[in-house]
Amino acid sequence: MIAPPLLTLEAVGVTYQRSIVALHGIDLTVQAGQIVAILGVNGAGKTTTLRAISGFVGLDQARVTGGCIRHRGTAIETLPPHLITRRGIVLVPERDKVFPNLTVAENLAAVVTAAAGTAERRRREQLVYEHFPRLAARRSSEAGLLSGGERQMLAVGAALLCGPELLLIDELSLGLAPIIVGELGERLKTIRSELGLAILLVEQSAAFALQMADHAYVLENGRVAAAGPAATLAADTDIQRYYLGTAAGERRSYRDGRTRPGACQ
Amino acid sequence: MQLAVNIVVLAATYALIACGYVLIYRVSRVLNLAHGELMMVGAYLLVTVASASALPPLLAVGLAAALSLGVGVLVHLFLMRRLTGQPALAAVLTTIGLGILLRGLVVLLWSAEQQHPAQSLGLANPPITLFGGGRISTLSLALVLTTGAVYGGLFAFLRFSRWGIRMRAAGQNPLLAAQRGINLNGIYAVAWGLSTFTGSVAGILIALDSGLDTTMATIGLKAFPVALVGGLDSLLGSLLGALIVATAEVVLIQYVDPLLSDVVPFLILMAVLLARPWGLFGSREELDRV
Ligand SMILES: Nc1ncnc2c1ncn2[C@@H]1O[C@H](COP(=O)(O)OP(=O)(O)OP(=O)(O)O)[C@@H](O)[C@H]1O
Ligand SMILES: [Mg+2]
Repeated sequence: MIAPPLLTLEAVGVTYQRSIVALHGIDLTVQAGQIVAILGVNGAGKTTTLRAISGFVGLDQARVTGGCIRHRGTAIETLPPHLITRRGIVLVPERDKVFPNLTVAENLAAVVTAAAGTAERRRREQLVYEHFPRLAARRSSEAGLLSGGERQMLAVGAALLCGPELLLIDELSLGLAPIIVGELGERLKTIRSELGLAILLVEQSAAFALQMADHAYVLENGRVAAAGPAATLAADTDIQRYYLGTAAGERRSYRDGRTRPGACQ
Repeated sequence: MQLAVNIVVLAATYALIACGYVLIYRVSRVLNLAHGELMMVGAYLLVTVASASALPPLLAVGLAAALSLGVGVLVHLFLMRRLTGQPALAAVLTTIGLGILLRGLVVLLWSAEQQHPAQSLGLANPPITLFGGGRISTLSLALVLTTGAVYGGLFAFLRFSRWGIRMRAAGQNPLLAAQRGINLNGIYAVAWGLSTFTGSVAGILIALDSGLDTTMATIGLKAFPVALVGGLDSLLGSLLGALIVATAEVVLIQYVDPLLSDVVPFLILMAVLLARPWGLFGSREELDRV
């Protein structure tokens, strides 16, 4: 018998506030050690997918209404977030990713490493500061005062402290200079191969994501519109044009108003 | 001198009660309007412990305070836990209901008569003359010292202990806290336990000093403006708020009219809220979350 994959989503549907359907049945698989990317325009449901995996709290007014999310074969869609984290599935959220009024050191201290002993915890802390020396330098400044890049490093660091086997990262590149994104990406690849992590990466920036990932999914309107090895998707011009809006010329379905169709393009 | 002593004692009383409001609000953004009643229950637990056992006074007080910590945890487990993630208003209304229920229960279980736990414990309360000539009762002195110890302990706990840091984290962003492996319900239970514990210690010391009936809940409610004046999510603020309210109250009672005593905290509250709606020490951005 083959061991079940690290993570599978089978026909997962998510509804916000009882009526707004954000996901209409997503199928997705992440194998151990893999980097998988989720691409799609604004509002496609990328963040919602990661949030469904990492667990909702009552505050979200969101619910998994159908399908099944399995971690190594065990259904986890009804678990509260802290138990999902303790299983080794850890989210780096899109926004509000650090505790702004806590210092860098306190942000790390707040993390619960339930199963790991003190020595293991100290080892992981060391690892975080080694990989992100900027954090060590700013250990006692408040996280709210960090730059965007440092904040992202702290968020990744705090997630690593949780002892993940699968890291869910929502928009690593959001609001960061390309050079920082490149650095962070390289750093992540190193960490991933050191720790044998799997990473599920949500990205606006298709070029960056497809370069990082082994496998990719393209979401549109809460459905999987395309899926395949990253190299195949990167070479497919149709996909580039219709779903990722990176091809020259027309850009369709960017919804956030930053690029209105017909306006100056 | 005596005026200063009175101010310090009243401020210590208010501060000890107010930190319970702050703890729960800071960690879960819930205004616990049953705090006065919970503190009263703590005091009544001392009445029961004193009559049911022959423990020495200090142990009896300790046992009652420990039981009250359990009461706080139970309130969270059986009531507030169901409201985790619901709108804050629902939780606040629930605490109002809880307060009414507790008042009824107290009358039912302990009767509405005035109780004197100090007598049944055989506790004397001799006045002590301070070096400046002011006088303070032994229990009032104990209350001032306890308040100091509780605040020192809370500051250190929130600042340095891992659980304290997690409590602050949960107060800032509960979802992210959960995503970092923090069990929110565990944190909230600790907050309710600590809050009821500190409130009950205040209630117990007041009951030992001046007896106990159901009007104690009103004292708890008077400390609510103190917490609000300070900004609700700041311990330092509630310490300062207690000092301001106590000073005004003592001075007005002395020089104007003793009947003012019950309204002073609320008058000061209105004055402060008009000038600084987020309180003296509160964080401004927290306001829209109330
Ligand atoms: N809290 C919420 N309440 C109601 N609807 C929501 C909520 N969050 C998201 N949605 C809706 O769900 C859909 C998917 O949103 P989601 O945030 O998952 O998109 P996304 O792919 O992450 O977009 P972006 O690239 O802008 O981050 C959108 O139509 C959005 O309007
Ligand atoms: Mg998103």
